Amino acid sequence: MFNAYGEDPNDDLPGKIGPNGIFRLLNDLKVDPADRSVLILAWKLKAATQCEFSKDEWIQGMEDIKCDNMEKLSKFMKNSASHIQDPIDFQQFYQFSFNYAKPLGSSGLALSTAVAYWEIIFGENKRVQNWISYLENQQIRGVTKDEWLTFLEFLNTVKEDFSNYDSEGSWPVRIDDYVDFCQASSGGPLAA
Amino acid sequence: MSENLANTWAELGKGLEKIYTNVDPVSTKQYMELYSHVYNFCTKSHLEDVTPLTRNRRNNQPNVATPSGAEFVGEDLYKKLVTFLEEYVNELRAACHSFRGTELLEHYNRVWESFRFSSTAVNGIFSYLNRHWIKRELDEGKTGIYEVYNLAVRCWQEKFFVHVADAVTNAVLDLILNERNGESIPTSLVSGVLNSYLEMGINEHDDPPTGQQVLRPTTNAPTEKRPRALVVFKTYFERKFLEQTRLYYSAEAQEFLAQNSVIEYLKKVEERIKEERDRVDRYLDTSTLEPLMKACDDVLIANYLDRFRGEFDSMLENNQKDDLARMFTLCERVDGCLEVLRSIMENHIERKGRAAISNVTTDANSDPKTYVNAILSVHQLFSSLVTYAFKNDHGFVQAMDKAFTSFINRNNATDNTKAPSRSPELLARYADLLLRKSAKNPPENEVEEALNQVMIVFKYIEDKDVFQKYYSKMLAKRLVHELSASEDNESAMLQKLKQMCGFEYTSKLQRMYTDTTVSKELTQTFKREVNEKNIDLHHVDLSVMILAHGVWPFQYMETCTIPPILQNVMDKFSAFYVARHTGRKLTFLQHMSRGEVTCNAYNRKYGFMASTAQMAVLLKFNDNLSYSLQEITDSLEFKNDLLCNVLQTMLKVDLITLSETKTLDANTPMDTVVSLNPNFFSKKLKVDLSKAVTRSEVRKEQVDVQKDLEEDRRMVIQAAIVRVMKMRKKLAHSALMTEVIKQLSVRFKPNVKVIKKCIDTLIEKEYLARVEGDRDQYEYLS
Repeated sequence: MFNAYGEDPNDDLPGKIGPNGIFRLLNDLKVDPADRSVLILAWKLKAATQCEFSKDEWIQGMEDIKCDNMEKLSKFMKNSASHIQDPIDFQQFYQFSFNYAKPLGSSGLALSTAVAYWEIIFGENKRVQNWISYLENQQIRGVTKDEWLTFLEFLNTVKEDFSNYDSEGSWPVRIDDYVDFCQASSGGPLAA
Repeated sequence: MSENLANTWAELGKGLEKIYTNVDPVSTKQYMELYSHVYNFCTKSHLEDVTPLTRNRRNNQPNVATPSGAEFVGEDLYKKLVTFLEEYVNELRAACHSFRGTELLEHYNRVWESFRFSSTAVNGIFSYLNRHWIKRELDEGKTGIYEVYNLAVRCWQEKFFVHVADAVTNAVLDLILNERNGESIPTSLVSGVLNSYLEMGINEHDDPPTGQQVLRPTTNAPTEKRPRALVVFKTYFERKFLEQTRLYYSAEAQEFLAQNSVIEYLKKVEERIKEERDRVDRYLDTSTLEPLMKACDDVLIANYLDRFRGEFDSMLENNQKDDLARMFTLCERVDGCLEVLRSIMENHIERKGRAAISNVTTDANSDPKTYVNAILSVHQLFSSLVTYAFKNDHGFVQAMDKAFTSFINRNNATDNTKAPSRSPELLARYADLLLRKSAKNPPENEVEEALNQVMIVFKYIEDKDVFQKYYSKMLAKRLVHELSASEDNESAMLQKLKQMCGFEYTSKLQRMYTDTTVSKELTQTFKREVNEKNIDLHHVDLSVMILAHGVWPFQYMETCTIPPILQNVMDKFSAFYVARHTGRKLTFLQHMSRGEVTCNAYNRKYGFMASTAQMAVLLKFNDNLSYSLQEITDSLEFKNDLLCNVLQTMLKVDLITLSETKTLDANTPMDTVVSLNPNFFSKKLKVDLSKAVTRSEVRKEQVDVQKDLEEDRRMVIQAAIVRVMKMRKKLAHSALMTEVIKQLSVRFKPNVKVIKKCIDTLIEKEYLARVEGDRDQYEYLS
C-alpha cells in the first residue's frame, strides 16, 4: 500500500507519502480530508509532520492498527471514533494534535490553525464554538501549548455555568479572561 | 492514789466549765492543776477500767513499744471531752435563739471569740493527750478524732453553727447590702463572723489546707492568721453572696442605664468594681475575689456589650480619651469584647483617613505637603489615642495599622487620578521638597524631623518600588543640578530607607552619591591638567558629572547642534577621560546640562543660566540680532516643539521679542522673527532661564515611571517565581502564589493576575511545567 501512494512525483518527498499521495489515498478511501478520522489515523501512525507519512511510520502504523489492505483500512476509518472513546486515549489524541499541527520553528499554534484543529477534533460542540468565537473576537495571535492542553481539562472538569471554576486556581490567564468575559455577558448567547 | 476516769473527770469537768463560762482567763495555777490531771490520768495504766478485748487492736509494728494503758485511757477521756463540748455548744445554741440581724451577729461574734479563746486554753490543758493518744490515732488514719482545739471547733460547727448558719449568713448579707447602698457598717463584725466560717472549714476532710489535719493555735493571739480551708465558707456564705451580688448589680445597672448615658454608666461600673475589690480586702476571703469579679463583669459589663459598642464610635468621633480608656479597661475583663471594638476602631480610622485626604485632594495634586500632612495628622491622632486609651494593646495596634495601610494606599487622591500609585509618588515628591534647597531654608533638625515623619508614612506604603523610582529620579535631579540642601539629611534619609528596605533597595541611590563625589574630584583633576598642559578651553570653565549608565534614571535625548565652543571643551574632556579609563564610552546628556553665559551687550554685565539648547540660541545672537524661527530651527537642527520650550523663558523675561504674536507655541508660524531685546533690564545680574518644568513634563514622567514599573515588576515577579520553584522543585499553585506574594511584599503588593501571567510566560519559556496529571502542581525544569 505504501508504494501505491508513496513517492508521488508531485510531492517530491522521497521515502514518504506526501500531500498529494495522501489526497489520492483519502479519495480512494472515500474519506474527506477534513474528517476527524484522518487525524486519528495520523495519531495512530504517530506521524511527526502534517500531510506526510514516512515509510516507517506507515509500515509500523499499519501493523499497529492491523490493516494490511484497503478494505481493512477503510473499516478502520469508519470506526475511528471508537479509538478515542476512552478519556485517556482521547487526551493523548488531543495532546498529539498540538504537536502535529505545530510548525517546526515556532512554539505555539497560529489561531487559525488551532481553530481548524479544534473544529476537527470536537466537531459540533457548543462550548468549543463559544471558546473559538471568543478567541477570534479578541484577535489573539496564537495559542500556546499550555493553553491548548489545559483547555481540554477545562472542558472536562468545569461546568457549563462555571459554578465550579476557581479563578484563583492555576488556570492560564487566557482561560480566566474567557470565564470573566462569559460571566460578564451572562444571560447573553455566550453563556457557556 | 490512783487516778480513775471518774475522779479525773470530776475535776476536769469543773475546770472546763469554769473556763468556758467565765469571762476571766484561767489562772496559771488552775491551768497547771488541770494539765496535771490530764497528764496523770494518761500516764497511769488503768487496766481495771478497760476491757481486755480492746487491748491489742492496733499494733502491727514490732519496733513500737507495746501499747500502754495510756492509749485506751486516752479514748475514754476523749469521749468525755466530746460529750462535754457537745453539751456546752448545745446550750449556746439555745441561748441565741431569739436574736436576729445585727444583734445576732454581735452575739455570735462574742460567743465565738470567747469559745475560741477558751478552747485554746483547753487545747493547752489537754496537750499531753494531743501529743500521745490523739496523735497516734491521727497517724493511724482514724477519722473522727481531732486535736482538742479542732474538736472544739468541730463541735461548734456541727452542733451550733449549722443551726444558725442561715440566719447569720443572711444577717451578714444584709449588712453588705446596706454598705452597697452607701451606709457604713461594722466591718469588724462581718470579718469576725466570716473568719469563723473559715476556721470551721479546716476540719473538713475533703479540703485540707496541708497534708495534715493539724491546727496549732497559739494562746496569745486569737486574731492571728490561721491556715484555712474554704468548704464551709463557700457553702454557707460565698454562694449566697455571689447570688446576691448578681441580683443587686443587675438591678442597679438596668435602672442606671435607663436614666443615664453609657459614659456615666462606665464611671459607675468602674467605681463599683473598685468597691467590690476593696470589700474583699477588708472583710472577705481572697479566694472570693475571682468569682466576685466574674460575677460583676458578667452582670455589669458582659450584659451591656451591645450598648458599649454602640457608644464606642461616637466616643472615637469626639476623641473622648478618658472615656475610651475606661471602656477599654472594662471591656478587657470580658473575653471577646475587644474584638468588636477593634474593628469599630479600624473602620473609624479608615473613614477619618479618607475624609482627611478628600479634604485636601484638590490641593494634593499640586502640593504633596498637604497630602502628607493630612495623613500624618490622622496618624498622630490615633496612634496617641491607642497608646493613651488602649495601652498599646497588640490587637488595637494591629487594627490601627491595617486601617492606616488601607487608607494610605487607597483613597480619593489615588483613585481619582490616572496614575494608580499616587501615594508613593506624592510621598517621594514631599521628600524631594524637604531635601532640596529652598527660599525658606529651615534648620537642619527640623528637616530631619520631617523626614522621620516621611518614614512613618513610608512604612504603610504598599508599593515601595514606586517610591524608589520617583525618589531616585528626584535624587538624580537634585544631584545633577546641585540642589541638595543638606548632605547630612540626604545620607540620613538613605540610611533610613536602607534600614527599612534592605541594601538592595538603596544600592543604586548610594551609587549615585558616590558618582557625584567622584565626578567632583575628576573635574578638579581635569582642571589641573588643563593648567599644566596649557590646554586651550577658550575661557570656558567646565565641570563634569560622570553618571554610571543603568544606575541613573536618565536617558539620552537629542537636543540640537552643539555650538563649537562647547564642542571643543567636550572633546578635550572626552580625550582626558578616555585616556584614564580606556574602554569606557562617554555620552553627553545635553538636555541635562547647563551653563552660564555672560552677556556684555548691555550696560550691566548679566549672567544667564541656561540649558545647552538655550546657550546655543544665545550664542547665535553673537552673530546676528534677529532670526526667524525657521532659521534657528534649521541652523541648530531643532525639533520644533523643543525650540518653543527653549525660547519660552527668554520670552518671559523679555530678553527676546517676537515680531508678531505675543505667544509662542506649536502654532506660531515659522517665519516669526525672534529678536534680542535691546532694552532688556533685570534687577538681578544673574538670570536663570533654565527652570520651567511644565505640567506635561510631570505627566510624562508619571507615564514613564508607570511603564518602567510594570516592566520591572514583571521581571521581579518572574525572578521570584523561578527562585521559589528552584528551591522547592515541586509546588502547588496556591502555595506558589502565597510564597511569591510573601517574598515580594517588602517591595510592593503584586497583582494576582500579573503573577499568573508570569507563570504562563515561564511555562512557555520552559522554566516550569505543569505536573503530568495534576494541573495544579508545577515542577521546576532545570
